[in-house]
Parts: sequence; C-alpha cells; structure tokens
Amino acid sequence: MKNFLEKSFDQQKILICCGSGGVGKTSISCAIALAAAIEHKKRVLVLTIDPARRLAQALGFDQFSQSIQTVIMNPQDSFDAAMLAEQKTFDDLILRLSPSRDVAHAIFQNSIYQHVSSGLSGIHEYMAAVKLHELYESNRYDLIILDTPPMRKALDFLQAPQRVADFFDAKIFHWFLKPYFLAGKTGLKFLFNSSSLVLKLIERFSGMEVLQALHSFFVNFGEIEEFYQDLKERKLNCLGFIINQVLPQMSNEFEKDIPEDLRIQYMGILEYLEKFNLRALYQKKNIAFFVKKTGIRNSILYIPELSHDIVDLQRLQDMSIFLRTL
Amino acid sequence: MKETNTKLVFVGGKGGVGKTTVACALALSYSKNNKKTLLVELESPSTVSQYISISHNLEHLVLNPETSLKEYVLRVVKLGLIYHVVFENRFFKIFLNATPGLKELILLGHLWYLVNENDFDTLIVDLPASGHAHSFLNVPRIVKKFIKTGPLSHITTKVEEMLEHSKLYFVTIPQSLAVTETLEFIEKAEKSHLSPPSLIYLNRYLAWPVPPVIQSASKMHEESIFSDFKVQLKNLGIQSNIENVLGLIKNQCKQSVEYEQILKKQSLSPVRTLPFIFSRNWGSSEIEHIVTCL
Repeated sequence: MKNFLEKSFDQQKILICCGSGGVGKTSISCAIALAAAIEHKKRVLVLTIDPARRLAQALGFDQFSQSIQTVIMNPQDSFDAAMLAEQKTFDDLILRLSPSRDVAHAIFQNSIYQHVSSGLSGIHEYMAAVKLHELYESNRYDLIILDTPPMRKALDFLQAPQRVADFFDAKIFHWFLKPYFLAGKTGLKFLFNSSSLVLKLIERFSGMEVLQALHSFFVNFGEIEEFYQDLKERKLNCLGFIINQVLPQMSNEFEKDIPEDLRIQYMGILEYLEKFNLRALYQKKNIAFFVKKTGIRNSILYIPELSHDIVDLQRLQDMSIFLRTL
Repeated sequence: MKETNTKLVFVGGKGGVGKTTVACALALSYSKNNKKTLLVELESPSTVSQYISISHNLEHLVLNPETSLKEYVLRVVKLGLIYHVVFENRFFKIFLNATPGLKELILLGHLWYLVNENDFDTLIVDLPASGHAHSFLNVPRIVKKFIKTGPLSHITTKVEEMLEHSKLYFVTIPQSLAVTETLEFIEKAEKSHLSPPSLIYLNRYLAWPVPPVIQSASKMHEESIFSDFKVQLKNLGIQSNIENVLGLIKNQCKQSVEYEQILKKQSLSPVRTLPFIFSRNWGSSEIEHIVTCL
C-alpha cells in the first residue's frame, strides 16, 4: 500500500517542493528523487534553484551545474540532477537569439547586461519555467522534482514568471531593454513569444501538485493559513506535507529508571535530556495542532532529526527511507 | 552631506537562523540603553510584533518599495494627482517589479532618509535571507557603473556613503549549510569590495554539558562523558529512546564547537556565540534573554 508521496510518483509528472528557509527542502527533494528512482524505477530529474555545494559533493559531483548530471547509486539505479544557474540560463537565451556568436559575446561583455541578466527580478524563475517546460515536453523523465528557493511566501516563485512575462509583453519593454540587446528585431519577437509559452506553463501548473516541506518546531501557523489561501487563489492542489527534523521523544518518566547517584553524577547531561524531551513534547503538540487545523492526516510524512548532515549518498538514502511506507 | 550620528546596523543571514530574533534583541538592547531606536523590516508580512513591543525608545517600521516610492515622490512632487497618473498605472508597476536594482535602490533611499532626516540614534535593519543580502548591499555600486550623472546617480552616491558607515552583523547557526553560506557571503562581499561583517553571531550554540562529578583527577574529554553515560545505562539494562537523544545532543555540541572554530579561522570578523534556547513559545522573555548575551 503506497503512501501519498509514492502514489504521486505514478500520477504526477512534476512535483514542486516549497517551504521557508532552512527546512531541508533541497536535501528532501533529492531524497524524493532517490526514492522514486530506486524503489519505483522511475526516470527522475531533480531541478534545484539554490543548492549548496556540499550537497552536490554528497551526490558525487564537484558542484551542481546547469547541464544535467547523473547521480549513480548502483549499476542499475540512478537519477539526474541539475541546477538553474543565475546567469547562464539567460546567457543561453541570448546565444540562441543573437545573429552571431560575436554579437552574443559583445552583449555578454556589456556590464549593464551582466547586471540585468543576474538581477532582473524574477528572471531566474522565468527561466526555470521555460526550462521546466522544455524538459516536460521532452518526455525524457517520468518525474521532475522542482526545488524552489526559500521564501517566506512559499508560492512567490510561481508569480515571478508571470511578472517577467508581463514585463516582456509591455511596450515599456522596448525602450528599456533595446539598448541592452543588440539581438535585433527577430530576437525581441522571440522573447515576446516565449512569454506566452510561460503563461501556458503556468496554466499547466494549476493541475499540478505542490508539496510543502515544513520546519517542524517553529512552524508559524499564520504562514500555513496564508499558504493555503495562496494555493486556493491559484487553484493549486497541495499534495501533502513533509515535516522535517522531528525530535525523538522519550517517555516523560525516563528519569525514573536511572538510579539517583547516576543522576546526580551526570546532572549536566540530564539537564539537557530534560530540555530536549520537553522540546520534543512541544513539537508533538505543535504538529498535532497543525494536523487538526489543516484536516490532513494521511498526507503527512515525518523525517526525524538526523544526527548528521547529508554528506554522502548513504545518508541521503537513510533520509529517503522515511519517505517510504513502512 | 549633512553630518549624522545615527548608527545604521544591518542584520543578515540565511533563512531560519534566527536573524529576526537577533535583530529584535539588538533593537531592544539599544533602546534600553537610552538610544532612540528604529527597527526596520524589508519584507512583509512583519514578524516582529510577537517578539517586541513598541516603547518610547523603540519604534518599528516595515518598508516596501511601492509605499517608499510613493512617499518620496509625494514629498518631492507634492501633487498626489501626478503621482497617481505616472506611478500608479499598470506599466509602471511592472517596470518597478522587473527592473533590476530599482526596488533595492528605493528601499536604500528610504533608509537614507530615515538615517539623515530623523532623530533616531540607531536604525536596525532586518535584511531578507542571505543570497539577497549581498545583492541588496551591492546595488549602489552596480548602478553607479552605468548611471554616472543625474539625480539617480546623486541618490546612489549618498546611499553608498551611508552604507560605508554602516555595520553588518551576520547571523548563522552550527550547521553545514548555514556556515557555508556565511563564508560564501564573505567571499562575495570581498570580491565586490563591500566591508566584511562587523560581527558574526553563531546562534543556537550548544555548549558541552557540565561534566560529571567524579573523583578522577584527569579531565574527561567532553565526548567521552556521553559514551560513559551510555555504557552505564546499558549496564543497568535501561532501554528507551535515550540513546537516540544523547546522540543528537552530543552531535549538536560537537558541531557548535567545530563550526565556531571554522568561522573564527576562515573569517576576519569576530565571532560571538548565542546560546541555544529551549523554549516552548518564542516571545519577549526569550528576546530579553538574548539581549543579555549580545
């Protein structure tokens, strides 16, 4: 019997992971990819937006790159990973549009372009949407997992492509961008066309499932309500939640079994044990409250606080075990 | 330029490290020391109201580019109608959203106004999460590269001067990702000739527990306290989740020390630790506790 996540591997083509900063989203996205590849034999791609180098090294490459790299777990199982680089994705677009490589390189040298291409608000997400669309259409993968940048308003990243599309559509775009792009009229036309492409993609997102990764302890319930509201307004479906860094709990009377002399001796450690246990208890209450408030019970997965950072594939595999039905 | 004694402090860091709580604690600390303090947030919705309350010495403001721009234009132009016609149309909104650096420049301009045209002693600014801290602080430098004259250039120069006199406190926690991002930020700042952080706060630092009271003359290594305790428990046949939790605690203590060393070694900025606070709900008493550790 599959859990909601495993079921989604068969039903969805794109899984989007959202969440605020520091919850372990990117690691979890990779763990999901691993689970789908090893356990369910899917052809998977995980697309990260803001990955740490450390994680790349854990997967076996020096760093994430915008070209697809394969994570090999064993001779039979692998999944692909790529990052949407800040500047490079836009550079690619320019390369495609420019009448010649010389013109393209002249553009690249231009310091204004350098600033625009990395700073154009939302361009990152826009290119992500374009790239995602390409990959989706290519049918190279059964499942694409999109990791999103950490945001207070988790779904902001979806708004960005629309903003950029608006920008490209508006006539104001002409006088603003013209001095930056020497690409000529055909180039500009392409940019206009690509914006409608993005809009189509966003429409497709409406059928898509969104996965929310949460920090288990300091979860701000105001944020959850906001997130739900946001989802409703965009007519998106929330597939479920993954609550990370769940603390192990001991019985409230764990000290009873420990003889008094030992307790006095190791007072320092005991103090910490008590505090951690209390914390675990509060966390449990918070989670219960959250489950009650959202009415979701069967669409939550819990990942315990792991002693070690994800430093290699083995640790990633350890994490992915918690994504499976036991 | 008008001389100002207002201190400007930026608080930066990755998401989830406790940046906002540190910013609140700093603001509270200054206000208690008789400094008229303003705590500024650059993201809405505001999150500080649960941590601190406004007092005669402590005020709070949430900035956003649209309202900042509106205030500025109205101050200069003084005609609401013109503002409405020019700035409140759909195209300008789009332009504002997509133009690189414009929003940041407007916010920085507003900060400049708060620093120079008000009587605050201190301004504490809670920056948005990491990656943006660098691009935010770097905007004036970039804009100056291609806008060399005119009113925008003038604003940019003033803002640059303001930033040069400001301080940046960077908050991080003893975790691989947070520390890596901190070091990357420092590297990026160096490359763009921004000043390094004046101070790095290592938050959620868990000190080794008090060592056991034992007759042995030799000083025990901190880690072996844990393994000793585990052994004793095993001998008594105690089985529960205790071992699991012990492992987590030990790891957290170990990482606290390790990352403190790494930060001290690899950055020129001083590093100050802030303790791990076990608390059910975060509120003003927790913030007051942090104030004592600043």
